[in-house]
Amino acid sequence: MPTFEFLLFVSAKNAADQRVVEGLTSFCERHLEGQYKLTVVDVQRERGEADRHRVLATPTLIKRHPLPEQRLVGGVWEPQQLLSSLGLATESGSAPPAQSRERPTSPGLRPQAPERRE
Amino acid sequence: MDRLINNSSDSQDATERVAADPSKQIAQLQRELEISRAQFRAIINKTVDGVILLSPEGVIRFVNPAAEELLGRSLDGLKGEVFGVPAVPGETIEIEILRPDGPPRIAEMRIVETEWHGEPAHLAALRDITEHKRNEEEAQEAVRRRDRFLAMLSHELRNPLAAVVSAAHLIRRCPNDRELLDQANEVIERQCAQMARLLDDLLEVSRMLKGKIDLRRECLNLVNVVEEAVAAMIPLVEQHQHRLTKDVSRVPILLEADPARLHQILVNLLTNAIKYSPRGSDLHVSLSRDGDHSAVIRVRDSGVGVAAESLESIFEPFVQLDHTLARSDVGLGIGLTLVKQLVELHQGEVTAYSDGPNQGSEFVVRLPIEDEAPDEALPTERELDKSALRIAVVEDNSDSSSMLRSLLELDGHTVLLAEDGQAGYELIELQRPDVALIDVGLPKLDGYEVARQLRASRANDGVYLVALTGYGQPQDRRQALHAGFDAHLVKPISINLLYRLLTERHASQPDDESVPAEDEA
Repeated sequence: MPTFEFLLFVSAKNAADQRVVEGLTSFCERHLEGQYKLTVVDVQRERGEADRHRVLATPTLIKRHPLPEQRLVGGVWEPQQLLSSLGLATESGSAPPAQSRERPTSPGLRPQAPERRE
Repeated sequence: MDRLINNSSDSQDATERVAADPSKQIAQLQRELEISRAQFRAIINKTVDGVILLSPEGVIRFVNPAAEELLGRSLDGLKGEVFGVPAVPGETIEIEILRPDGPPRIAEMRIVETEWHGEPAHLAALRDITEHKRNEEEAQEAVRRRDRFLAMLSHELRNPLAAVVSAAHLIRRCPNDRELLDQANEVIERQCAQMARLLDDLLEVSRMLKGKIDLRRECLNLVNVVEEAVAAMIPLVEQHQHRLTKDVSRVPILLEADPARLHQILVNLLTNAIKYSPRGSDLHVSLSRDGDHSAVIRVRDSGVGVAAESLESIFEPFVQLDHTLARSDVGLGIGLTLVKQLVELHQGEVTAYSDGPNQGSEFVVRLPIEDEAPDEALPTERELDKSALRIAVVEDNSDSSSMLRSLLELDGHTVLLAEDGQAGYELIELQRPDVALIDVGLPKLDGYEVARQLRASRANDGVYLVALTGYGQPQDRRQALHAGFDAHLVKPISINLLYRLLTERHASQPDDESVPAEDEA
């Protein structure tokens, strides 16, 4: 199981939300390589999923794992904000390699591309 | 909120008055606090922006009524829900609100850091911009469509231009080859006609979109209009080797309409049917009366058809059907826009039907017609010979009145002229003609006033008053009838319609006891 598990709720027809998906994917690749699972949910197609997670607006990012669950709303997520929300920010403010704090629970873990549920 | 308390103007005096008694002082402060709270609540409740107070973890603590409305949920249902930690404070970002019922709304969200019950909190202000975004998207789509149209236009103009340039080269190189010169001439004429048609369409649409098209209505027989349009299209039908059948009513269908515009409607629909059908297709045109109030024209082809999702949008400007079939002579995608606009100007409606791509299509035009079905066609001038009348023409344009006078006199009527409202009133009052044709825009006394003054006296009841106006809208007709006119004709008046009115007038007179007998011609 990956260390970080994200659910990203977007409205696929919205161009800004597309940028959020791209931005988050590249963030994860850069900082959490090999330790994350990102599931993108298009609320247009999967409204039930949004209701199940009580999502009120898009874009919303839910960090499912590690606990506690955290939720960010609105698209402008600075890498620094994301790192601090994930408890990864260092004193100097630079983003360390994720491995320095969070080790994969499984040594055989491989990088995963975001899974799209669209 | 602090400011509200401190700025209370009575606060200073009141404090001094109750300073001696601590319990009064506390009561006073409590009252002020209450007032201040009420003011604060009123501001929050009445502000049009949604306000959401969130804990540092993004949990909803409070929402104002505007936010309840925007989110489609009540405060009770929202308290404790996790909205999420908002993006960086100070930034304005767009979010889409998912509502339990109905489509999502788009909101602009701004965040400020604040406190709530002594704890740090995020205050999110949400402004509903759904409508604004929709308008923006529509405007963008219109621009995209116009761009496509301009690309299409330059392509469509370049094609005939290329042919004309080639023809010019030919003429220069073979000035003595008679056959070649004739051929080149034909090419130039044909291609110029094509370009002229494109430019006409273009100008027409731009006038139409600005609402600058006026109808010149007259009473006409729709059967003739359809027959003429079909006849005009025969060469194009033959060129494409189609088979065109028609089923046109044999009984005249009368309506007040602009004949040139009706012709345009039919020609556009027929041209589409011809172009968007593969060579040798079956086309069908029909015209029939549908009940007492409308006529229906159907133009059916067996061509490329229309996908269900495009059936409505094909009437919008610059939208084109897939035209791979007729690439050599497609238009600009504005023909159907013209059709729709022109039909609607006639208070009619046009609908497209198709079972899908390559299943052919049918365009149905429904037009309102005159209520009563006349037993016969319009009377000819000859039929009126025996009913010579005395007719007053009150018109300040001397060209119009002298033309009208000549026409009426040719048919044996006696014509009396007046050039302004006052003279017209006096003439009619004195002469008591059978009919008075009165322009409504007259100097001295306008036509409506002339009618009102004439109708004030029963002695003029026998005069049949016809208003001549430049406007054909229902309200113009109503205004004329209200002023005392018996009928209303739109200029330039159709002499046929005038004769019809005169015939009706003539036929009704023997039954009309109020008409002075000595005035009968």
